[in-house]
Amino acid sequence: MDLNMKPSLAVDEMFSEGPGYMDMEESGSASGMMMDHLHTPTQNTNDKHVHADFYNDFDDLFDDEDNWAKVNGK
Amino acid sequence: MPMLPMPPLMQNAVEPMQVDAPPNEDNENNEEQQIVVENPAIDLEVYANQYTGIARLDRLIYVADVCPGLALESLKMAITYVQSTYNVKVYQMLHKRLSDIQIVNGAGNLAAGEQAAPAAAALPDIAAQPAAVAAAAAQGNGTGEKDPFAYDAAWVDAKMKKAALKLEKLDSDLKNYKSNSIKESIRRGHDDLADHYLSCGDLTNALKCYSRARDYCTSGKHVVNMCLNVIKVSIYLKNWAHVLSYISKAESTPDFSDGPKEANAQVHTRLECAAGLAELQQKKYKVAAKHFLAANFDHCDFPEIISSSNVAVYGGLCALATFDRQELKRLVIASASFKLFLELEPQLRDIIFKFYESKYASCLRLLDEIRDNLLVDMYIAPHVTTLYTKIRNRALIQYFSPYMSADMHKMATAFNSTVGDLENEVMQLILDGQIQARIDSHNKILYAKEADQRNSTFERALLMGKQYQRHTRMLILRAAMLKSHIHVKSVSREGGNHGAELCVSAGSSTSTQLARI
Amino acid sequence: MGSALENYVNQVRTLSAAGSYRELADELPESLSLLVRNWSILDNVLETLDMQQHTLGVLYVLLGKLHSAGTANPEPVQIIQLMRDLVQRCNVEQLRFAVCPFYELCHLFSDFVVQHNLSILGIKVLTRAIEQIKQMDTQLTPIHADLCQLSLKAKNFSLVLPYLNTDMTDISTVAAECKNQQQQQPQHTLDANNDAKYFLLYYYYGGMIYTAVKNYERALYFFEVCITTPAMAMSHIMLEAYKKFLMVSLIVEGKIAYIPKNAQVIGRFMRPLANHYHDLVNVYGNSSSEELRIIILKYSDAFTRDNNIGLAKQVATSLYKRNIQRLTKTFLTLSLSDVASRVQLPSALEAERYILNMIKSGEIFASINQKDGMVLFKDDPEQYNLPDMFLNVQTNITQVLDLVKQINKMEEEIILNPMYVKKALGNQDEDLASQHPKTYSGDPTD
Repeated sequence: MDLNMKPSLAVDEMFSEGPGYMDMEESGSASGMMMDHLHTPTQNTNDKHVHADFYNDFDDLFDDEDNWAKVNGK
Repeated sequence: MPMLPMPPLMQNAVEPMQVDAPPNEDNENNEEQQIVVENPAIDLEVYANQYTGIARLDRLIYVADVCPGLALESLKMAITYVQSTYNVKVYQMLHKRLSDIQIVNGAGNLAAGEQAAPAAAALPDIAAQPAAVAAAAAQGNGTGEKDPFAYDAAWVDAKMKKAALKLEKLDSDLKNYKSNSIKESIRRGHDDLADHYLSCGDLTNALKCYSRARDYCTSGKHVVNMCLNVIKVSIYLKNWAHVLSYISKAESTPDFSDGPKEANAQVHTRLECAAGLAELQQKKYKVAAKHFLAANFDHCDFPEIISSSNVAVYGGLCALATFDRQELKRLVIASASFKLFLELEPQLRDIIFKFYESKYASCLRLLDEIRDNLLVDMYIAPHVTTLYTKIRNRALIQYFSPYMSADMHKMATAFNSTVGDLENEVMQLILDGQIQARIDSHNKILYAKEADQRNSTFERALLMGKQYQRHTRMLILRAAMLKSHIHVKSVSREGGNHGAELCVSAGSSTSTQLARI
Repeated sequence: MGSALENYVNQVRTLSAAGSYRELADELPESLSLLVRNWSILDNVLETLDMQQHTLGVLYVLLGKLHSAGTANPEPVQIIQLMRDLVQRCNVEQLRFAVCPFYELCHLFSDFVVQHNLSILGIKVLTRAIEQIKQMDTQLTPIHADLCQLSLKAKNFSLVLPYLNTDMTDISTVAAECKNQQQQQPQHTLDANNDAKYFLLYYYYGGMIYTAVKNYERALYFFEVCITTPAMAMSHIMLEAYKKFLMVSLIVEGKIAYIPKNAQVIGRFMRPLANHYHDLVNVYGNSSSEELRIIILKYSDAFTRDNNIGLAKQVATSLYKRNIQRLTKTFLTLSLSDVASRVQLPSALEAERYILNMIKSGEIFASINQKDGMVLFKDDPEQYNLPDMFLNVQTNITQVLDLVKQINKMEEEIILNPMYVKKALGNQDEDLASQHPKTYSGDPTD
């Protein structure tokens, strides 16, 4: 089992706080840039929002008969 | 959608489950619960006289905050006391509070001579003392003397002038010392200035000046003295981290143990008390208990912060809430030193002994009796509910520990409780893993349950394997994401590739190595 | 047939016959607008081309057809049939030179069948498309997101689940494909977030599918992947995934085990936009079904708008169940009416229904005595001593070891990569030279 120890350690390091978010925000330059953008008043805030038009028009797939909890009285 | 026939919360049924509902105290936002104390059995004057300086003012103001019945009396007491200091701000604040109360009580009727009497009349619950005060006040007015609790603008003016003059003098003294470079004088000058600020109620500047004295300390004793001053002001400021750090500074001062034994014991006790207080406020009850227990009764003289009774109560309660049976015996009951403290609080001593003798019903009853008295104490009040719950739980656990099964009717009697309430409490303890048992609610019997080590080991191992697989899969996927440059870019208005550039620079960070290859 | 289109056909035929697929693939994009303009006679063009021999040519004609679908309004059955033929009979060798147009074709096709409410007919086409284009079983393509979309629209998950159950180790992106082919990235995909979009959509839709089939743990995994994707801006896909992540977390764990610390984006943009959901999480923590019911009712408009009201009800159900499970840990016996009042169910009858269902699904172990309305709670009978369990443990160990091997292999690849070696060594020299104690923590193999 000794064989397994090293990689599992590596994994633990990366996942020290849940799955890793290693890159973007940990890099000073990146988050710094992000801040710059945020504090530029001329910047359109929508620049920070993407994929606004993605397809999400589905029926409610989660409301089924063995959903016993009755929530509303409509 | 069908109408939901929600019951009007089952009147006669058992209380709805409150499993895992976090106690209020743990909720950071609820830190300051609104405490209202109805019937404390304390002699306010005796209580207040245990303290000096800011401590007395703070404690009286706290009583006024939480106990409407004693508000008037404590405000007046504080006013009398504050006049012996330079603390003009607090004097003004106290008067504002006093007149607010009197407006409410007197329903706007503030005619001279009538102001005190209706105030007392509007508080039918309070016993003799306020009435006596009111009578005295009324009498005072009757004989044409000045009401001692009327706002004295002249006093305020005079005090402010005096304070300014004194400040100027101390300041120029200090400058003189500095130009002469006499270390000891400079140190004292700082301390004097700090003392003056403290008297004025300016805690921030007091702290600054006490700290500045540090550079001019020439002996270990001076350093310790400086630490004690900083600790004192930090306690007033409720900066507990600061308190603890200066305690350790004091303790690590090289020639701390030099000097007369007597003085040293006093310093030790002060430090222990301050540490106990700081730990208590940070909810480290067990550590707090140990500090209070280390105080030396004969050298417990710290009226600017804490009284010997306080040490008994804080230490005793924290110990009861956190010590196991052996610790309670060894560190509290058998402690010759703490015994002396407990003599000051006979009720608490009885509580501790009853607990140790497993007489839980009377122990809990006594605890209930002193509850109101604890709630007027600014340092213990926020912790009373938590500590009481801990004590009660400890009692329940201890009660059940020798049994394989227990009759819940008998148990309920032993805890002044109904079977229904007890069931809820025990249920919570089982859920928290503090009692290994299951409840036969049908027959009202509590059965001990052996944990099956083998089964739980298997269970844990499988769970761990599952988590490992989940994490590793996500890691592998993440490597693929980095390799394929999957990330959401911020698209700037100029459009085009700006976003991409952003991300390239982001790649300067570590784990994007995978991506770069 | 106009002469321009004749040229197109000739070009396709000549270059295909010569096997000059690369050249053909490079030139065809220029013809696309021509094809779109001549939408009315594209069927004639198709007649002159062969699916197998002229895969690239047919691909572009289909692209032209779908691009012009708005004006041309083609017969849906015909489009579906053509697509079916293409993915069945295409020449994959040719297709390799036009991966990006092929992805685009699949996207357009998905939009088309969704618009015509024929999603169910597109599912098989897309699975076939994926089979043709993917380079390994664990490769995620942009088509996967389309497949999920159609499956959700059609509420038919049997074909997509095997894909979702595969753990991906490689991602095919438009950006990478174009780079491989040394082609210009097509204008419409110049959106820098195109690849991220299909990636996020796959994990968002996939999470929805798992939620619909009540595989909540896997759903949580998918939503988590989605919301932890590196981001410098907030994607609305991530936002919707975040909302569902919170709710599914409650169902699986009873709490939010951790809020992923994708701090910039989640904290700044997503959290404020998901306030109702955070309230829900907080109330759930109090374990009171009554409070939970009230808050769901209060926010029902918002939840309905987000198409999450059904999920909110599942959350409510899960709290009842969770509270009943707690009872089994603390009680040996309890009357049905006590169960009802303790978990705030309206009646003993309702409590009985929950308990029976939970016994059936193995969530609790208990029996009900109908005579006196008493529930007798039992321990999990699992003793971990049967061959089945042994096999289960064995399987788990094997899976873990396989993952370890995979990680080792990845590690080896990195260590042996010359660029990595250079970078790692270079950095070291730099550090030594400048005596600058900069920590080089980036070495994942360290």
